[in-house]
Amino acid sequence: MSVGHVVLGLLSEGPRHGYELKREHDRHLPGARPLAYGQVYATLQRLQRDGFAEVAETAQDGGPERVLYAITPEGLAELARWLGEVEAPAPHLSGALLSRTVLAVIAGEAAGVTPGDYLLRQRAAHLTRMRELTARRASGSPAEALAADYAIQHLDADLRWIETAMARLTDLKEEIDA
Amino acid sequence: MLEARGVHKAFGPTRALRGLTVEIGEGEIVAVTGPSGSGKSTLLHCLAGILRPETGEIRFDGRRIDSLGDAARTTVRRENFGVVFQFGQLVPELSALENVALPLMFNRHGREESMLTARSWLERLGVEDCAGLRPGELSGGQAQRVAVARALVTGPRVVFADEPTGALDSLAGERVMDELTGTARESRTTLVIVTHDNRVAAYADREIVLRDGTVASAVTA
Ligand SMILES: Nc1ncnc2c1ncn2[C@@H]1O[C@H](COP(=O)(O)OP(=O)(O)OP(=O)(O)O)[C@@H](O)[C@H]1O
Ligand SMILES: [Mg+2]
Repeated sequence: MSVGHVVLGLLSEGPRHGYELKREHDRHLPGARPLAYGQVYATLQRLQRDGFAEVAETAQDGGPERVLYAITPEGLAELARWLGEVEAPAPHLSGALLSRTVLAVIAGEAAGVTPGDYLLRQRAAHLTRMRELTARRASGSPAEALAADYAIQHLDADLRWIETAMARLTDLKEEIDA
Repeated sequence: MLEARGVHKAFGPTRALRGLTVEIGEGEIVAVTGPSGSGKSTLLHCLAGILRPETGEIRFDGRRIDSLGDAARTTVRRENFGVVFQFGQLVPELSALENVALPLMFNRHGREESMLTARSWLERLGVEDCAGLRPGELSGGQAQRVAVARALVTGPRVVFADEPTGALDSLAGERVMDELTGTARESRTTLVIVTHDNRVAAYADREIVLRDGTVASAVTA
């Protein structure tokens, strides 16, 4: 998970100014730390360097220079690759899972990924990890069982959040499309 | 080994299963998950030959069981299946021990022998102290463990369990799941577990996720 992918996701909806990207980031991911302007521009520079974003238009009507940024085909391919992955199942992922889900709703169509499929794949990845931990708990020492319990219960919290998220996808899509 | 093909099942206007297809192999441990009302219990009852779908086929060992008459289906069930239901299932007039021994006696085992085997299963599930109690005197969790013992006692080829740990705390649930899956793996029993507890689903080799009466995804470990 990186700010770069989030910015690419926001750009997939169309060209944006830097300040618009900040505003949309903070609106769509209200739980995340707000993006600083400096961070937005540093990220845009990195994306340009890697060929994932480009300047679409520069305007200067009296005031300061205003640059409009756009995603490139390479950027869209990178976004699709990222949305096609799942987050490595480890406890305490809420931020990363949340960002991926919101981004899959915003940019899923452009990247050819549906949010429901992403959540099902993430569920499968989490459950696979839980299976390993469940097997380890059965054969392990009490201390190992205790550690496995901790990881299992936290992954379970993520899984229950994923179930709720699936049920909320329609509402979320309506809000984002509005 | 166990197969549902294009199964539709409705209750009045409610379409509980909508053209559902699943296949379960011998010795497989499968978790059926999905939101409340998605058709999990209905699927379990169809696979176990308790409910008959309106259309579609249910096969056990390649043989259709949905088209059998009631008596023939009951025989298939008694000889091959063990079932743990989601809601009330023990015979209220019998003790816990007699409840567990009952399926053995149905299958023509002697009373003495049946009681002995039943007692050993109560021990394995940690409820031997409840042997003499009636279902009304058991806690929810104890009743659930007695029901699991009753499903396993005949050494069935398939065990169907609907929320087998729903009334249990984490550790008791773990014990029941260890016993259920341990027994299944030892004797290559096929196990179909309906649950909305992910920690229970994590005992299975494979998960079938239901949504609105069809399979949303089937994921293998
Ligand atoms: N005997 C019945 N009579 C009428 N409707 C029924 C009956 N059994 C199930 N249904 C309906 O069929 C649908 C599927 O029910 P089912 O019990 O299979 O769901 P479930 O996935 O097991 O849910 P839960 O997780 O709440 O146990 C529900 O809408 C339910 O109301
Ligand atoms: Mg049910």
